[in-house]
Amino acid sequence: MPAIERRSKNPDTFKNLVKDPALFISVVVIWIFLILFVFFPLIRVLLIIVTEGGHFNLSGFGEMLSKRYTLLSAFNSILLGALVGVCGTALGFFFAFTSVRTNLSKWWSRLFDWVIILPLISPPFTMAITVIFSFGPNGLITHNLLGIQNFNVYGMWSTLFAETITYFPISYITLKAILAGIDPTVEDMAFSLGSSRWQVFHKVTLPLSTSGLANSFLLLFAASLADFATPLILAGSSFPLLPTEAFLQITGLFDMKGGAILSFILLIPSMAVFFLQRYWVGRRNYVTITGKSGSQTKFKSVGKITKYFFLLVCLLTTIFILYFYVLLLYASLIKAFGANNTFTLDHYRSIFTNGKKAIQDTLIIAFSGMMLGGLYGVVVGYITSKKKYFSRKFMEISAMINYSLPGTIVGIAYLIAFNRRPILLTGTALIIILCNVSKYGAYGIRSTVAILQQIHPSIEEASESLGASPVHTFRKITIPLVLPGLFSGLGIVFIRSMTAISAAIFLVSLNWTLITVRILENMTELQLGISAAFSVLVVIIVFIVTTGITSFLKLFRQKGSMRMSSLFGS
Amino acid sequence: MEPVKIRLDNLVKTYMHQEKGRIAAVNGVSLSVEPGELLTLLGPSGCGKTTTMRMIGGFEEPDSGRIFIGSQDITNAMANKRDAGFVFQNYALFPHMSVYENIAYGLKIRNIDKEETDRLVSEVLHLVKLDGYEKQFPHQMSGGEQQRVALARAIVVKPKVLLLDEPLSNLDAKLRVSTRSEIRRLQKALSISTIYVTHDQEEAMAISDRIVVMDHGDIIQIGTAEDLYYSPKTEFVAKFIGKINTIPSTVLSLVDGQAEVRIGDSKYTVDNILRDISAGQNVDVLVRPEAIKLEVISGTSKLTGVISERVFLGDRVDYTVESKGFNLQVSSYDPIRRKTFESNQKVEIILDDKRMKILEV
Amino acid sequence: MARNRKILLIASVLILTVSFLWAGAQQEAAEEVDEGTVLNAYSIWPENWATPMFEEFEKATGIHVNFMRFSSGEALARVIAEKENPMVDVLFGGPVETFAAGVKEDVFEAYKPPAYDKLEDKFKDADGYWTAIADDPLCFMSNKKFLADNNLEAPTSWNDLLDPAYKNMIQFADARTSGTAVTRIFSILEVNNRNEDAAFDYMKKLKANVQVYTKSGGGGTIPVGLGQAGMGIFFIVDALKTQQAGYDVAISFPEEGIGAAAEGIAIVKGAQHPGLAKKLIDWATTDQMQNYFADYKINFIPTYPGVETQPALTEALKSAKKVFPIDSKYSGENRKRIVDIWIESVLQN
Repeated sequence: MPAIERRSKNPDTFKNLVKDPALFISVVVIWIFLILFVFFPLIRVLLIIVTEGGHFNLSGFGEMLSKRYTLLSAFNSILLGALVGVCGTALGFFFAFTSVRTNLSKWWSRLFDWVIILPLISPPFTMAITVIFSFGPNGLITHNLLGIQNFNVYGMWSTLFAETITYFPISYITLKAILAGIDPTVEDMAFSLGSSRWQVFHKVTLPLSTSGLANSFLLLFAASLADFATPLILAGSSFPLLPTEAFLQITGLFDMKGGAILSFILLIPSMAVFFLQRYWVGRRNYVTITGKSGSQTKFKSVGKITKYFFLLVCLLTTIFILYFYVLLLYASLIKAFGANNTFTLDHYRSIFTNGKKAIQDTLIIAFSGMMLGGLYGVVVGYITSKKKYFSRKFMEISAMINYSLPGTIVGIAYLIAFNRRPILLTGTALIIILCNVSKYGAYGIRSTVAILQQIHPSIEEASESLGASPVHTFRKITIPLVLPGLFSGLGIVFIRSMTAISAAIFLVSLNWTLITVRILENMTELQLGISAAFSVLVVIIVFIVTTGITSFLKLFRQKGSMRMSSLFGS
Repeated sequence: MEPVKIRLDNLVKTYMHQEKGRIAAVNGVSLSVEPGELLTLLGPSGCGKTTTMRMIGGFEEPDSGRIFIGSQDITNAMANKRDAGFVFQNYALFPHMSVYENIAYGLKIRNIDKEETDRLVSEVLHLVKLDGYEKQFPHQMSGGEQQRVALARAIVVKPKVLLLDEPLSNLDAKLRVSTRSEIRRLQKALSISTIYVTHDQEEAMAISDRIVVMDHGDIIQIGTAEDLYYSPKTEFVAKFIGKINTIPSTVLSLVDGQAEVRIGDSKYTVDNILRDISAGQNVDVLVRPEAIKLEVISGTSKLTGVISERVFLGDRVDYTVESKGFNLQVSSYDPIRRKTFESNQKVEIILDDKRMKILEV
Repeated sequence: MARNRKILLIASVLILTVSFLWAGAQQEAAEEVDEGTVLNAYSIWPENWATPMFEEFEKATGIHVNFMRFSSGEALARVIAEKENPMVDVLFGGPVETFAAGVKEDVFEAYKPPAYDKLEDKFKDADGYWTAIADDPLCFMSNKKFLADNNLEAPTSWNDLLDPAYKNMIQFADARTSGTAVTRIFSILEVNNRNEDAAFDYMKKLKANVQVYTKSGGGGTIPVGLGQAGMGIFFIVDALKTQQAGYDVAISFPEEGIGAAAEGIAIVKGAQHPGLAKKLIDWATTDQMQNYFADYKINFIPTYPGVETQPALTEALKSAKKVFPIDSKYSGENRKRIVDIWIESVLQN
């Protein structure tokens, strides 16, 4: 459907707000939410950083910045982020290319899709734990298999490895959509003009994928920057990273201010990524997946050798991933990994008795967050893309702030901000739920906006011309079409609530705890079996809920409505 | 249902342009559509035809002016209260609903019961020759089929008027021709006052009772196809409707509304003059391609040229003739019955005084 | 949408939302009702030990202890962060240097339980801000196979640890989060007669052999047990537990001497249930709790006079020639400074 531009460009005026009471109320409510739960905490943190005893004082800030360790952490974080961005994108590209371009049989495609999902729905330490099991000094692979003694598993390389495996699925999903959207006839044309396969790839496919590659790099860079859990286990003290150092500064040295400063430094690269994404990648072509059910031309751009090489790389990675999860499962079922290999269900018994509270708490928080986050995502997505009103652009950006920031900053901010009147929320479930909503609700906003952009305004106009009131149109036309976006948002908030830790670790309390925090505790207390059992449980729960949502979606999916490329589509 | 009259009274719609400031998209448009008439708004992109249409439909608010459907002033009415069927350029079918549900949508809103709805839906599907398509979904259908569903959906609720916004521009040429006849047939059968928007002059001429030619927000001329073709008021209209040649000439004298002009070495008397001219002035004279005859060149030939291009099109031959200071497009119909000429041939150009026009610029 | 499906959708959304809100409310409500007999605590002792002790307490007094486990650094950080709105009533367990630091931050309320007068000076705060509930010496724990492979005896001197054979095979705690580490650092200081240059010099040399600094005190025990690391420095309570779990490890002590840290308990200032807190302190600082150490295989040395140290522990301590208490006053005053120096010159170098 060609895009017809709106003929009249009403500026975002105050007038529009006043005319439409429903809009006015929504805007006010959203702003209250944003001010209280996005700006207020951040400003409190900022105040702590720049004041000393009530007076404006940047010395603490300067002091922290001049410490060698701080600069090293910052450098490491950016270095690691860039490396993860590159490696993850490369790996993701391998997978995406293989999946889309090599005429893979459905069987292989399915297998890859399922396996790829695993790192995305696991709690954060899973890779780290299995890396230690496999590559530690007494590790399965290094010691038992390869006989290497004293292999130092801690440091940059293992962290890079674990993060790459954890995050490359994001790259896969992004790139798959882009590659699938590249018209094969463009390549056909290049062939007919005499280009070799390599030339076609190099001069046609690659340039067309540039925006996808850039986007993927940025996403992975941001993910690595914010990753707190993996480095906590694997980085060791010789490779300090900002989110982990911020955490240790607060919890180890009770230096709230120092921790806040360290996490604030993360703000710079995070904001850079945010703006780069908006303006650089924002211009990418929105590939609409519906419509042209054209003939599936066979892709000719891959020679046999290349095809098998790609397939091999993917297969190896897939096997690796499966191995890690099997290892996890194994560790959860034996008494003591490495020492006592007798089969036991004790760990599972333990998590369902001692861990029952954590499981209940987490589920309640995740589901509540899901409902609230889903609603938030749809409402904000709808009003920012469909309605024009004063402060619209600003609202759009504000809603994405917490989403773009590393969890550590948000967690610290919430801890500081809501620890005293007038808003006292520490120790409640609400603080965790609100943190999750303000952070992950943005996914819902993005998918709603993406869907709405694909729904031409004339569809709603057509409805009105047939006599439907705006409310009727919203109910019968807009909502059914937006449903996939809504569910996608719901799903993401749920998954993140179940698997996130970097913000939540500051917010758990006596009354409300989370499975991920329990996993960390058990890891530090070396109850590895229990950690593994909890991890397996999380993977299973998330898997069930995700499948439930996609099935629900299929059931209610209005035939012919825009298909979302995946639940995780960024 | 009795067809109604549509009246637009000095509609104005402006918007702010980044550099140019406030621009008028629709600059005081007044027109009326007789009951049962199909009136077409015709013009190039940006002329304001779609904006006008959208204002009638209720999707844009006019800055000033009034809109009447029948005796009702609907200028400020909400789109859903206007009872004006709208067919969009991109069909705007509800993708999540079947053909039946799409068509029944408007009926449901009017609380028509199921039996009656079923009957009306199959009736209208029959009208647009899509019997049996009830269960299909839009994405399963071709463009032409989708367009007919859109039409069906709009007319099944028996609206007072019908508004069609470039409904055929997304279809291929052959389909456009057959579908436009369908639309016209249907419109006549239902006897519903219709406004049609298009930029394709052939389409406008083929189906309209009257045509409104617009440019840059203004109405240039209103008339039947014949009116506009044979009696264009301005050069813009003349050029927009059909093809026309522009020949530079010099006014020799002006007497009693007749002008004697010189083209090359020939003199002609033009009485179809629609602007103020004076003797000695250089003006353009407009002549249709079929109004020019070519003859074998002879010693007495006054106006001559050379054929630079010759295109045989079956029912006619089109020539491009190069003369001193201008080129001409000449069409010779039913060529088998006439003399034909070859490329590079020198010919005599015979212009018919009666069919030469000097128009407003 | 077919009517039935629509109804199903709305119904399920409503049911889901309502049920989760309801469940949440239930949880909150549950807390409300029991306020009269519920005590909130942060426990630095791991759950394996804290849980049975609190269960015994509840049997004895009917008071339920609601607790969360944190390593000493995290626990204290929380208490300090929550100063204006304390979430807990008691800080339970953890080395005294942590309590000394807390006193400095003014987060405790002084209280002298009945046991106070009966305890040695090293087991209580002069002003009554904290009282000891157990004593716990540090020790060396080594993996037997590692020792055999490298032809080593179990280390009996701090200098033994500098042996290149230990390169990248030592695990012990990070002073930023663990009281064990701070105790270790102060032990090294004592052994060097509080000569900071000498002490930090040693620690810098030792760093070459360190594989990783763990977050919690006992974090290295299993890696040593599994052979992923060759040795570590832990509180005997963790080391003995590892040995008793079946891991092939040897416990030894340096002849120069090693420190012991008392485990403390204190009331958090502004506690919501000070009365209940006092009851717990009364109970824990006497034989009432400490008699259970043996039953639950908690290898702490009891502090209350007259309670017998269990045989396994006594046996292990036989080779400890010189164990000294960490001076809580000295460590309290210098903790932040020393840890900062350690971070700058040892950890981050």
